[in-house]
Amino acid sequence: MTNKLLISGLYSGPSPSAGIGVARAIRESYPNIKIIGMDYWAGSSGLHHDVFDETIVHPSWDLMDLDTHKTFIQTVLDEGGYYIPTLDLETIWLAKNIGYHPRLLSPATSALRAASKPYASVTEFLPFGVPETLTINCHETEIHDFCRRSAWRLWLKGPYHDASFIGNWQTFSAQRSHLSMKWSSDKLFLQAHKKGVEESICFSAKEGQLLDAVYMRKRVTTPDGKTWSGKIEPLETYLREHLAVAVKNINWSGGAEIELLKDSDGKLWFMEMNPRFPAWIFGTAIAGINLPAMLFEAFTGLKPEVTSSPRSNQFTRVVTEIPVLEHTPLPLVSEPLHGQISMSGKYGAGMASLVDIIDKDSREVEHKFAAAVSEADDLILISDVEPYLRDEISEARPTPERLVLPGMLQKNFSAIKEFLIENKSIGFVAGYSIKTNPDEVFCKSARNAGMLGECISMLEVKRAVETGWNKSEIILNGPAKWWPMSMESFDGLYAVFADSVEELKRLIQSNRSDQVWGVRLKIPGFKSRFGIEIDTPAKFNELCQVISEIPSHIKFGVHLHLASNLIGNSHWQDAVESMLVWALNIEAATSKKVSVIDMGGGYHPRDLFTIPWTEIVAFMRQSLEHVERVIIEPGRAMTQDAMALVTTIVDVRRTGDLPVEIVVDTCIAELPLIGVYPHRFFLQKPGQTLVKIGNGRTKVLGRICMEDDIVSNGLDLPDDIAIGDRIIIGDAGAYERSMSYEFGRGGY
Amino acid sequence: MNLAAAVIEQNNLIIRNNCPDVQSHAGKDCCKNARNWLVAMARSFDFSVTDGARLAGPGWLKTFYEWGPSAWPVYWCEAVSLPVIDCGLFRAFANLIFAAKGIECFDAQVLRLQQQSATSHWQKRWDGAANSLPWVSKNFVYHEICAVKTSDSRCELYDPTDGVWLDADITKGHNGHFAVRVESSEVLQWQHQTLGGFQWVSL
Repeated sequence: MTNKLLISGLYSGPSPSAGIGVARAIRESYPNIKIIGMDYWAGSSGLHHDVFDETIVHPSWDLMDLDTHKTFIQTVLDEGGYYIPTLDLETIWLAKNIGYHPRLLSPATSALRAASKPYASVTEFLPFGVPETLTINCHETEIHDFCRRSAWRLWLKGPYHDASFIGNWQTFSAQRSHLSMKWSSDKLFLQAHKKGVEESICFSAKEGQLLDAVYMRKRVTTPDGKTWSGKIEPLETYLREHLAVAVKNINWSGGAEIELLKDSDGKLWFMEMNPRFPAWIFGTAIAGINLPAMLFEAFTGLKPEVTSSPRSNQFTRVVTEIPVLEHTPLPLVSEPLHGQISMSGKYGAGMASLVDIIDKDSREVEHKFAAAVSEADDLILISDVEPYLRDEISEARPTPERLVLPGMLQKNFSAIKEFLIENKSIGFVAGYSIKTNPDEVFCKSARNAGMLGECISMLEVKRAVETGWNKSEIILNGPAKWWPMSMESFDGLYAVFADSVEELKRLIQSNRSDQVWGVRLKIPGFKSRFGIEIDTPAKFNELCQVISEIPSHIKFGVHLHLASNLIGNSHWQDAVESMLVWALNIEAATSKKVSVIDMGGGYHPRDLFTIPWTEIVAFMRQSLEHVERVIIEPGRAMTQDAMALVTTIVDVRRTGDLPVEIVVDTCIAELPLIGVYPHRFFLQKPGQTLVKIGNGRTKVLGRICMEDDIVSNGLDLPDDIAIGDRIIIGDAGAYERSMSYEFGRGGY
Repeated sequence: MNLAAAVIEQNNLIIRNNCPDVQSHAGKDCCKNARNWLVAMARSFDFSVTDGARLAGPGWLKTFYEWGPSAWPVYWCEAVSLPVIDCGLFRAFANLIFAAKGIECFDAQVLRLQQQSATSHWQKRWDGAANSLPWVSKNFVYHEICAVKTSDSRCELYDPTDGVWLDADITKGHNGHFAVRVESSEVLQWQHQTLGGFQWVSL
């Protein structure tokens, strides 16, 4: 059975396999070779392509007998046939099950390991940047840190395929559940997004020797980012040299594609390495660098019957209808399931089931979650909560109960006090955001730490005054700051920042006696419903005209409020730098000098003191010479981790001996943001010490009859978890406290 | 006369010798403020801390301004407020933005091949526009772009009208670059082409 070539992967839908392209490329150089197309789904339209002499449809991977399939492949190879697989998971299965064979034109397991996600060791030999990556079997706090560090622009990637863009915690949680279920694997990872254009390197190699390679720049893609048109170029010398070293070191055999992103500065970033030719591979034959034919020649020793001549260094695709071959009828259509709105054209080869087979050795390890390790703040929480738990009366105290954590309170406000003393000389001032927790203990702690009070309504100003602030120590912000209108407004505040030009005009006409009036800017390019629009010359000019009318005895300020917690620190810094440029422009266009810069709040507790404040202020002072005070308004950072919520387990549901679900007596009414950011969980069994709980498989359901009342999608709880055990939920202050509401308690 | 100049003459393209400057009102701040506004807008859309890239082009311009005829001469204070601008204003805006980022850049012009199926539309659109330039002929168009210096002797050409970096290999057919002129006394390498010296270079 010589001169017979099997090629798999004949799906030719929107995200096609490479089988047809490989076959066409080889057919071009070897018109007389017998090419047999092979696939695992009758719906793969390549089965009907005239490039193949024969086609074979095997059962999908979830239905086949693997030993039978292995015997089939082995027999083909042993009888002198050659085989080029073009499906990632199939290639990995072949490496594990067939191993080395001189007529199997694909990489060995060791080479595949070097190219595998998420940390492909082959990158050590390549001159590319690698985006920061995090496997997600770690603590959620660490994942949230990573997301903020990556400006909430990340990709959650599956172990072999699939990537979902992650822009916030809710999307992350939903996609993590979806991908974990789809791939039956927790081997997911997050990768920081890189802005750039998509390019790639495709190559052929035999046993560590690079045969040839091309560089491809995508020109048109499908909505999913798959190549539709591209430009092919020879590889630059330095890239070729690096690639040759990489191929040699990992001893690669077969085709491969290295997917890259090129950023605006020309830096190349490694995305992933696919262990097979790409679907656009026939483009290399069009360009006269026929990589599949070179691979075939290297393995068979057969000289090409026809030499590929270059026709164009660019290729594109067309959609065309072809007759269905009689011996491979199209698959029938399933009756739609309830709620299903369209037929699916997705590849039906059951590839996901291969993951279970391929990963069965490592599955045991995968399903172990990272152990819960207590950090310094956890120890403070434990020490703060334990007296409550030791209290004999606590048994009788109803839960859920929210506790103030005196140790954390002391730590947070001492830190801000120290920070303000250290940075007094550069004009740093902090305003305590009353809305994050108006409780007296927090307001007094803030005032004692030297913070001003930051309010968004007259009721909050009243609260601030009641808890000890002078009116001249209050900053007033927000779109409806004079609410309730029936209340007499407080005059003589430290600063009032207008949220609209109309409001600024009213301020000017008001004869108020505040020290500072300012404007909150809506920075172009950033999503926010707040602030004054400046994104047309007309709007900006109108604003400047009104600012010019501010009386000379009132100081002027500029305010930005975008939560770094939600957009990430680097993106927040972009906004701050942008705000400073706008402030400078306002100075240039008006008679007013900027005396106060307010950078708002929304800092994550773990970020507040990592932001390079000194550098930011130094940068600010380079251009804005008249700034006297720089305000930040931390509220969340002061209060989020200074409260915990104690809840009691009221039901335990098991599968066998394992607890799969528990119900607790708290709910989304007490924890309205439970799904918006990660919380720390601790378990207290009667008579035992408090222990931190990591991620696991036990779902925690809230007490009310709402579908979305899910407290955790999975905790690592002990098998003997029981009704009456208590769970302490950390990070339950700030908006979890101030936005909590009455629900399911028999009244309002 | 080189090939590019001959084509210009034969096709009756009344192109500019140099890219014109957008003008400023003397003794007033209006035009300075308009330029400041444009630079501030660019900083807001640059995201340089997050993306970590210095040479990112001002792609937001093409989402903010519609392409079409502009009347010349034009003042900065008028130009930034126009909803529709031509390639000359796109070029002027983008080069102001690159320069504000500390990136050395030059005005540049490209002579492009076009099919009559496209030029007839543009000819019609520009026919009724007051004080605009006759940049379209039957098979060629004149277009203004930016030459952005990427290193001591190299540049890349940025077309802010489309928000794309040009490819020196595209020299034929629809949108093919027939000739390029960079307004720099320096000789600059653009991919495999040598440009500069205020000369039209046929590609």
